[in-house]
Amino acid sequence: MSTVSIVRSTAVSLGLIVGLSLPSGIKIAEADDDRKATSKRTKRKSAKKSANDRRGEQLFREFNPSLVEIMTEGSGGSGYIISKDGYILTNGHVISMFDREDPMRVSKKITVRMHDEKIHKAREIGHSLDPDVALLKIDVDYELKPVTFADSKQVVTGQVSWAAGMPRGLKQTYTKGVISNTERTALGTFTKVIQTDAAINPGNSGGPLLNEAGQVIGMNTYGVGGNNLGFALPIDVVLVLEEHFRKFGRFKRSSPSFMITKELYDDLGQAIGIEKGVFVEYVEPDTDAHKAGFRAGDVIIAVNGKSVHASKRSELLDFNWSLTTMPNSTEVSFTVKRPVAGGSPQTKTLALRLVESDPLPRKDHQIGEIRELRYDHLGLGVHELNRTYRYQYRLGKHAGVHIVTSGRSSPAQKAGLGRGHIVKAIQGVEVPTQQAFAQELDKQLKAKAKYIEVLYYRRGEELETVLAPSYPLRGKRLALVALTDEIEYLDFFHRFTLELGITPIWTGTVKQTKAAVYDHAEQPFSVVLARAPSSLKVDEFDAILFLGDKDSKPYWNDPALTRLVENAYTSGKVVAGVGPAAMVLIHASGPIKDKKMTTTRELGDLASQKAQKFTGGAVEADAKVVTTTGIDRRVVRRFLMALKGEMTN
Amino acid sequence: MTRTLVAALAISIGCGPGSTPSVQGPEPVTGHNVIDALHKLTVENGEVVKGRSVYVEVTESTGVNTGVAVVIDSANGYLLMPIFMAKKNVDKIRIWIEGDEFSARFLFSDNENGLGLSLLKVEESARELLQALDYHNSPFANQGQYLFAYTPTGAQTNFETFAFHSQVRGTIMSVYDQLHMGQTNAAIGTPLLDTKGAWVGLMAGSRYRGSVYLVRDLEDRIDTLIQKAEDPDKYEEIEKRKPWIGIRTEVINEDYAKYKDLPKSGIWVRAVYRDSPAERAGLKPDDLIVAIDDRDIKGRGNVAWSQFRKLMRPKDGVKRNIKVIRDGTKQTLTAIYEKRPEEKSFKDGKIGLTVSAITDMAYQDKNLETRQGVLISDIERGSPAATSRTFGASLFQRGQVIVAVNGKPVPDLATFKALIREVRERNDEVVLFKLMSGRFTFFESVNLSLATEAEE
Repeated sequence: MSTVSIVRSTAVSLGLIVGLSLPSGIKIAEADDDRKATSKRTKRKSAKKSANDRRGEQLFREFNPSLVEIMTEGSGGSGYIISKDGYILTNGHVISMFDREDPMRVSKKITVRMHDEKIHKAREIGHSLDPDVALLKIDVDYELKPVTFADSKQVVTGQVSWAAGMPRGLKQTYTKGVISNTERTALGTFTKVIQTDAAINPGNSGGPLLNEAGQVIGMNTYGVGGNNLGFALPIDVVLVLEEHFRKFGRFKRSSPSFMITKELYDDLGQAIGIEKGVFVEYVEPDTDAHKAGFRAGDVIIAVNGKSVHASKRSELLDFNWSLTTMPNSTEVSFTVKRPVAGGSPQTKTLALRLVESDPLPRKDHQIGEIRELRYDHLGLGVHELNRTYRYQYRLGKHAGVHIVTSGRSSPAQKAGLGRGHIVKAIQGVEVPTQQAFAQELDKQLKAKAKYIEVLYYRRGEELETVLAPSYPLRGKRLALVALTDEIEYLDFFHRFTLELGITPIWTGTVKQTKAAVYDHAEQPFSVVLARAPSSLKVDEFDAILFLGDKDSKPYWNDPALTRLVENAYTSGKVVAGVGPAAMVLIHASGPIKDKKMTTTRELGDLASQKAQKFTGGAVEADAKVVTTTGIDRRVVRRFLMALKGEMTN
Repeated sequence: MTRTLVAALAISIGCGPGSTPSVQGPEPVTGHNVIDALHKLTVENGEVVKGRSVYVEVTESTGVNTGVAVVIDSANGYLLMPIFMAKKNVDKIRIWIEGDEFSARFLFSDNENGLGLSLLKVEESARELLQALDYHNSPFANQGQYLFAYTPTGAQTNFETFAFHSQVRGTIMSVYDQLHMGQTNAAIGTPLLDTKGAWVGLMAGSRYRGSVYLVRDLEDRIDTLIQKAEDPDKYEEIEKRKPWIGIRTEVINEDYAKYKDLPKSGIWVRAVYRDSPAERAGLKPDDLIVAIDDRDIKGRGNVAWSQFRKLMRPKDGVKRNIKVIRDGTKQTLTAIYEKRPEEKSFKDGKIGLTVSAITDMAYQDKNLETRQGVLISDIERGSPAATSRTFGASLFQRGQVIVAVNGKPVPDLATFKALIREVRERNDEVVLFKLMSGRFTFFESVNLSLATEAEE
């Protein structure tokens, strides 16, 4: 058991979390290298070439125009062009933000660098983290060279394979090896993957695995510790997702809800007296599958009249994949054999309509698709539950939200709330969803409740406890100036004021603002902005915080706002800005000019002209002036800690 | 020791509250009196411990440890040391009695609640030199009281007897209370006597420098240690059937106590097991225990927990009056400790599975979803049950419940045994198990032809 988890965790840490994608910081100066390489190549031209050499060179020449490099604000990876008009395939994790709280979150800024160094902005058409695929689109006014595909089912172990991509930022790297195995399942992936010994390193993610003819047979995705152990998603799988992305904007998985299948391995087949088929391991009571007549221990021998069999894990994954990729609501006819004690098995035909699968939880290699709602200062983060989640984590039937974060020495931990517990009710109100949970908790925090009753399940026991928030900034007044109606991380700022006991004064340039982060944001986080920021008086608040994205540009130099900043700063108030909204602080004059500040990277040039001490750092806290790039959750969290520090002083 | 001296000491070191030096005692109290009294007591107590504690050097495979052992039974030559030793590591034990070297052997060691105790046996020829210190009815030492310690001579020591006296600074509350004595150099295991020459404590190890375990807290453990040492067969029985009253408890959360206006040192009863003394006593889940035998539980969190454990002191046949708050009213319930029921288990060597009956305790504590089955308690390495289909994951895991064998339900251990017997008699090659983990069921099939000859 321990061995496999090591292998898996390695797969996760190397392959996914560190990623085969690359931190954007690493850049290689390659201009000189290119020249040297070219001159060497010229010299050698006269040397005799083998057939292999020629094939490699031809593969490079023909394929290279289709290979691209993908860059995001956080990381990067490889990809390839699949259409003349600019569709590009890569891994889902290459364009994701590696945000554990919101794993499905995609980078806002995706750029694609072509083989000829041309750079294009790309947009995401669809992405999935398991299987790990993303479809991007760039807009070009010239024809691109798309790749050609091979049938990955025809790939055999031992055949020559090439990997192309930008390992560790080294652009247009080609490595060669063989296919080591075509049905690898040990990584615990959703589908079987192709293993190759062609060198695959961080940065290769999303790049193609090619056959000798230069056709794409897979997408390089995972790496594990050891030497030359690389794994690629079979291209057939990738292309199914590509089709879904174009049609639906996401991968719509279908599943027979709710049953779990398993391979009918030899000993199992022998024990139940049925040798061929797919074993039904578990059927959840009161579900469609159960109502359709499925029972644990059944063996599926045919689907829509076509016989099926899985005695190996790879065969099981293929079987499941065939169901996963059927359209939602397809009615499927299953022929099932049921063992009869002391007799020959009974055969039945059961009809079951497939439904769209639950979002996947984080597990082993799976990044998961479940968002966490986290209260930082309470030290409490929760997931919503679904059937798959309950099955994978062996949870009971209790309704509520699942605790996934319990911060050390936090009020949550002091209350005895730990990871794996399920919160059933807050102050007597049941909270079966994140929204209900947030709503009730926010209500209590807003009222500055000294104790908040929490009813929870801990390993089957129903217990009651209380959360005792400390409200460390109770009585402090924070003016929040919303310069657009779509404010990223609005939920963060909202909870920041609630958890710390801050009295918020919401003002803005638009009537209403809503958070872009959570689906359920509309209600708990909607903030009606009745006041214009220009009406703020300096003695009304202890700190002022400017929020807003690029739309906030008209206000950067608004005299009323810059004056407000100048006055607030000279009166000893804390002034703060997130992302582009920090530009208001940067435009202000007077003593604040001495302070270190930062803003979004894209505005760096402009900001360094305006500010005397522009740093470009993620977060700057310089004596009552706090600014941030606001690039991701982690950075915003650091920013809020800094702001809390300044407001405490 | 003269009465006068005792009186003088009693006055100067404040044995009781409100004792005022100027109004009591036949002699006027001066600094000289006190020093003289302490001096004489140190010498007199030194006589008391002569031959009753010895210097010990234990050579273990991991290194050499030295310390002091107290003679607790001179006829049998039993020595007590407050450390844990693993029998397999002990190579040699040398002891010194008044400077003369003898040998001793390791008898038994146990480790409960973080305190190891070892019992050693002195060679026959040395026993006539020994006298025992009585560990029964040992007194408590209050804050401010003086205690006297003597570390006897050993081969490596450059002193004859090392003596010191010090005041009890305070008590560190734990499962075993520790008296804090300030900085001392007395070796681990050194006995401490009070002003009346009664044995009060044992010097704790380096981790608790300057603290002393109370002998009164160890009395029952010393008795059990001797029992275990004298009858190794009984040891397993004692270990398996430790006295219990059959409850699972948890300290109250401090904030919750404040919110609900409940005692902050309360101990929740989380589970009361079926057919246990606690059930017979009428204890119920959600009772809040606040006192044992009229002694209130004090402290918060872990301290309250250790206080509770100390006050309960499990011992077969002992009666405890447990005061609980139930639905806002206090009531006292009486539970009598008894040996916990024997756990029934069964091992099939060929399959490589050990299973046990699902007791109410297992059902409640392991959060099982069924009582109808047997609990997997062990999987033998390399056995068919440990076979892995997917890399590294064995067919079975501890804590899973077997609910059916070859399609036949397994309501209890006896049925399981009978079904396995059938399988063996029929010489089946494969056996199908239906299992439960949480509320989810699954199936595994075991191939018995994988068993080695030895397993059969």
